[in-house]
Amino acid sequence: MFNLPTETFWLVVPWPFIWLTAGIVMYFVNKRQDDLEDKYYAELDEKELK
Amino acid sequence: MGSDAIVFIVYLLILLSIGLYFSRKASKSVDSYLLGDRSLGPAVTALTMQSTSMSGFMFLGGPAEAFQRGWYAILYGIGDAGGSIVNLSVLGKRMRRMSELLKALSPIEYLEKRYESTGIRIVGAVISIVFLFAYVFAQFIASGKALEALTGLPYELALIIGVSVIVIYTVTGGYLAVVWTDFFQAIVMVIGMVGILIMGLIHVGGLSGLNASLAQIDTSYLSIWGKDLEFYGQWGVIIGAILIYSIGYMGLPHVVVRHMSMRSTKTVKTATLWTAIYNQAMAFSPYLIGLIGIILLPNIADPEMVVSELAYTFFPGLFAAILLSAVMAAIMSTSDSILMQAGTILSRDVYQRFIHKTANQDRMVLVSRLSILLAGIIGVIVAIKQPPSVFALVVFAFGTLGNSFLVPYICSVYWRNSNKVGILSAMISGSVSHILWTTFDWQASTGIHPFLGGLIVSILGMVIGNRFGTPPSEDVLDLFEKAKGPRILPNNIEKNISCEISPEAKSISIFVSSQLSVESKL
Amino acid sequence: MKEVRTESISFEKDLLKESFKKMEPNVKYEIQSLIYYPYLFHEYKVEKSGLINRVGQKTGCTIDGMNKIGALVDTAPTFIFKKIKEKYIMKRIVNNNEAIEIAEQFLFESIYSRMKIVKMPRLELQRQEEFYRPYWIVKGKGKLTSFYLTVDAVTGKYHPL
Repeated sequence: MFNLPTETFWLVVPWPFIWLTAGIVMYFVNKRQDDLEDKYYAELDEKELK
Repeated sequence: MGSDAIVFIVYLLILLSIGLYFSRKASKSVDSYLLGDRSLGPAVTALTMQSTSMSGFMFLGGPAEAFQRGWYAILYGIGDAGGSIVNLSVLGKRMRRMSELLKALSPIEYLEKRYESTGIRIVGAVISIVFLFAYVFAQFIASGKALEALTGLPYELALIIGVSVIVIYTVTGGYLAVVWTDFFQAIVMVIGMVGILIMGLIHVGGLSGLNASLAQIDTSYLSIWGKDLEFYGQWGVIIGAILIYSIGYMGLPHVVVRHMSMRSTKTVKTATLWTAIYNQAMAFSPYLIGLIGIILLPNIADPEMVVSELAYTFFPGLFAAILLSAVMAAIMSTSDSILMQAGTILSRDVYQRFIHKTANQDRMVLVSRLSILLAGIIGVIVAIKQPPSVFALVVFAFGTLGNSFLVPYICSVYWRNSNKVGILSAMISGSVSHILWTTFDWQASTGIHPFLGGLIVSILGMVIGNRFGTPPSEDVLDLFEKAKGPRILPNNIEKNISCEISPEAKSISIFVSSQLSVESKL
Repeated sequence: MKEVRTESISFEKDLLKESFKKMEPNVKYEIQSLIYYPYLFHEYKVEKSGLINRVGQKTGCTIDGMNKIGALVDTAPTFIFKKIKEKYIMKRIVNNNEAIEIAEQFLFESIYSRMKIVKMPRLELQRQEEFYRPYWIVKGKGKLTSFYLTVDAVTGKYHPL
């Protein structure tokens, strides 16, 4: 593919896709953590108000 | 000259005005001058982190490496494409929290307070200053070359003009000027880089055409082992090349400081996304362009000028000027960050810490400004004297900084019981081994890339050195736990907590973290 | 190894894991260690002068050996002796005399709150015993969070660390 030897192709070409996926995955992982944190702080505020 | 110069001058004026725009805000306080009041959002954080990381190397050194060694060079690009993602995911949130808890305004101060050691601050400051200067000299050399190509001015004059602009907007606007000019420059960079790449690919018949032509000249251009199969079978070199830019940025003070200046931990997720997208466009392009240069500019005298020449070949004057502004953008966005960091270290970690502890805000801002000016002047003098190749100098400075600070920064957020002795050992062993490995070309005999070698040594240094130190104080351990973020318990567990044993729980926490450093499993 | 006075464990590893799993199944639990927490048990004879009935009643009071506060009243724990590795035993901070003072204060307060009396009864210390209560250290690993709990191996009560 692309006239590249197999070795070079498989060592190089997957990477942009790997990194993009990693970025997207980390986005959602971090988002989940952020949401849990927000919930935690919201509950904390409620408790303190009581 | 003519329209090229006009475009470039307009570009410089934009940068200068951004610097001036922030000068009032910057002068307000030390927090503002050094860290932008920790106010930066995701897009800015992502792009400043990236453009700071991607330097003149991107446009000069990278293509030259590909021109000379073929597809092997793209291994460096692989690491670069993910470096910031790794950086933000590994250090991001925890470092942001920890640096705020420690009230640190510089990455060296951060290490001192985390490990409660003056020695770390001193050693850290020395290593940083020396190698940040080396790194910025490489950038200045690159800027002299690029400007020479763009304007036709002699190298020395081009250098002085280029550096002056950087110094002016950095001195006036401080961290905010640096970060926002970086943002602007990141956009210019990607436009330029992708533009040249597309045009280049069209001219060589796409990737397939490129590779077919390369194969005709020398099939080893297509091999990951490098032209003439230079590194054949040396996985240590291959891994080192990928590793250096995928994790190396976590060891650079002027990059790592971006974690400290984020608006909040919530900035990380979007910044990661921005950088993931941006990097795929940027990271691989310089090397591909270098390969294209083999076909289109086979007789070029200085391979570091491949991008400049291609820009002039393909694009009418105006566009070429924009593209070369992109080259300058890459250089400037790294240089300003390095100068800013060097200035911060000189003023906060040296002057305020050891010389004048009660310096007030105005004094501190003044000293920071003078430090940046000083760094700029010294940089120009050195760069005029002796220009070695940009690529070699960048890899050397980058590698030494990375090998010195990578292990310390990661341990600061993940290893609770890491102590000052371990950190100092890691810093010293890492830097020394990288210097020796490069100077004596141990890569030739071991087949291991200097960065990889230095990394292994610094890890050993950390692990062994840590045994000789004492555990961190309770205050620091407390902050370490806090920096992990709130302990989020699943609802059903949270519901049935017995508050009556909370005093016991507190004592047990302290006991477990300080006494039972190895949790045994029954 | 040191021989200490302790209490028998009512919540063993497996039972504990099961109970947690029932409470929150989406978490992986790892019971890491058992540490021993110091307490001082005091047995008192209460001489209630002036009041009818129950003269010379016995009562007990346990003081937290790390924090200077009272922990339990009126229960007399059953002790056993066990040999434990020293690294799992927490070192007591409160000394014997301090403990007595705290115990008496604690008892007074609890008597006050339970019975309306005018004059404080006389407390006579019968014995003071140091003992250790076992606490489990449990690590929970959820999908995106991890946390530590300590569980009182005698009562089953738990609290995050």
